[in-house]
Amino acid sequence: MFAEFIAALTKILSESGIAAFFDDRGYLNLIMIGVSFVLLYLGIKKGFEPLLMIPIAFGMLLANLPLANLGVQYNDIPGFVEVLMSGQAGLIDILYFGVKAGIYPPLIFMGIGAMTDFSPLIANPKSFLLGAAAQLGIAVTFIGARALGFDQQAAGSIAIIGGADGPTSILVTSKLKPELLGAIAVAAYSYMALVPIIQPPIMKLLTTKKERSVVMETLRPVSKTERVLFPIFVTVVVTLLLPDAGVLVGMLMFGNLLRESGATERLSKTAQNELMNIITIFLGLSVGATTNAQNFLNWNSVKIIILGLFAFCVGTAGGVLFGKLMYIFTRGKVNPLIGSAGVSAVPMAARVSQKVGQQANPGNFLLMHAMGPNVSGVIGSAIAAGVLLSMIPH
Amino acid sequence: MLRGEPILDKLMLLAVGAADWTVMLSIMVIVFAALIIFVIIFWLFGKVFGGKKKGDKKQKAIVTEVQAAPKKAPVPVAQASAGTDEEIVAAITAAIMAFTGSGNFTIRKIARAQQSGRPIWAQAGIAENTRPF
Repeated sequence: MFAEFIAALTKILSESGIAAFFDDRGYLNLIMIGVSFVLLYLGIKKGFEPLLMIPIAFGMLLANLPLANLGVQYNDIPGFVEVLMSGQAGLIDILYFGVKAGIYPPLIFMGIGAMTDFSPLIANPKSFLLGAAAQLGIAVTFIGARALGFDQQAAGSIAIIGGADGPTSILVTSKLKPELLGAIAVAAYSYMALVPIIQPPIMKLLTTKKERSVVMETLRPVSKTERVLFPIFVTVVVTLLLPDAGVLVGMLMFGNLLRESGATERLSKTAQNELMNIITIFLGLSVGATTNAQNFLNWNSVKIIILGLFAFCVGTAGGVLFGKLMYIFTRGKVNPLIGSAGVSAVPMAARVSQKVGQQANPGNFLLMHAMGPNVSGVIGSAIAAGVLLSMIPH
Repeated sequence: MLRGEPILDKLMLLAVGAADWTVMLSIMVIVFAALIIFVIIFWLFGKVFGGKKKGDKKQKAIVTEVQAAPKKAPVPVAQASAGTDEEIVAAITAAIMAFTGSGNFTIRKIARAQQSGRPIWAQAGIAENTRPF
């Protein structure tokens, strides 16, 4: 009887997850779990975009605990149907469907639109151009990724990191190259958290102290009519011009209209709070769960990390240089520092512009002026995403 | 790999084709085109709907010199800059009472503060928004 007990115990242990680590290549899962611990540390202790980083890290942890069936098992919709029909679909598989079908990112954008005040942009429409200039990061990184040997789909997914927009990156990557989703999401959110470190050296390198000290005119007040018409106009123009950008920009503007209409206060509240939080949890967790050793622990991820940094740097440079151009054309009325805020990490990049401006000229207040390019960059990167989705086959 | 040929050059020749430059160009052109359209539309908005310039509004940034005078009943102001209404003086007195939580003070003088070139509420907004992040 004692022998049978030992046999039963051995059987349980051999089917446990710990035993699976000793299987062929099982140690890689251990490494991935280690990576997830590092990301959890960065999110919790170091404050690296914790609202996304912690769900992503935890999803990564769950997916790499062997035999628990908590990883994502499909890469496309037919795959999803197959997994569903086989009865093997786990919780994470169901949650990931919202990512794969491109549902979550636009809903998050709706929440972002409901939280965003576009009046600095309406008051100073020239800021739109700075938001466009910063998308140079996306364009140049696309070439850079191709030069490093990535195919067009991967290059597009990596390039969109330069848009500094989590939902946009996730939407594009989930459609073009879902295998890279985990690495790209981690890179995108990490660099967004690092904006205060990455941007200032580039901003100072490309501008003179005199340019940085420019005090800009106070913004004119923006009427309610303008703030209501803004989202409607933007939606119509962008979606007619580029239908592939319609879903992101349309939802962004819908959220904004909920905020500005004055008649949909409770909807706006829900969009910004409960809905946004629910979708963020589902998105982060399931994106993290797509990572496994094969698609994460390889040289591609290293290249993605390098290219991501490159994208942010080029975007910052593009925005600042265009800002310099505007400084020249307006004869010193525009402070080039607000150009770097076109890298649409809202509101972090605008605060960086404020801080660097204050270093050059204490008492200078660039924050509201920098918010213009900042929110314009959100629109700009969504349009760039639309271009990538329309031009790259998938 | 041919001897002496820079690795990067070879990679770029192999991987980057005309189609890729087209994508890069398209991104910049389309983004700029769309946003230029918006510059024009919203510049027109500004013409049609444009708000008043901030300078139209009267700016009352007033500094008071307050001296604590224990056990003295609060007495209205001895001096105020020309053109200051009595109601404003009363409002300032009330504000200081509310702020300090006591009535033990005498206002000696009310004078307009240094103008920094921007409205005082904007200044308050600045202080609010630039608290350390």
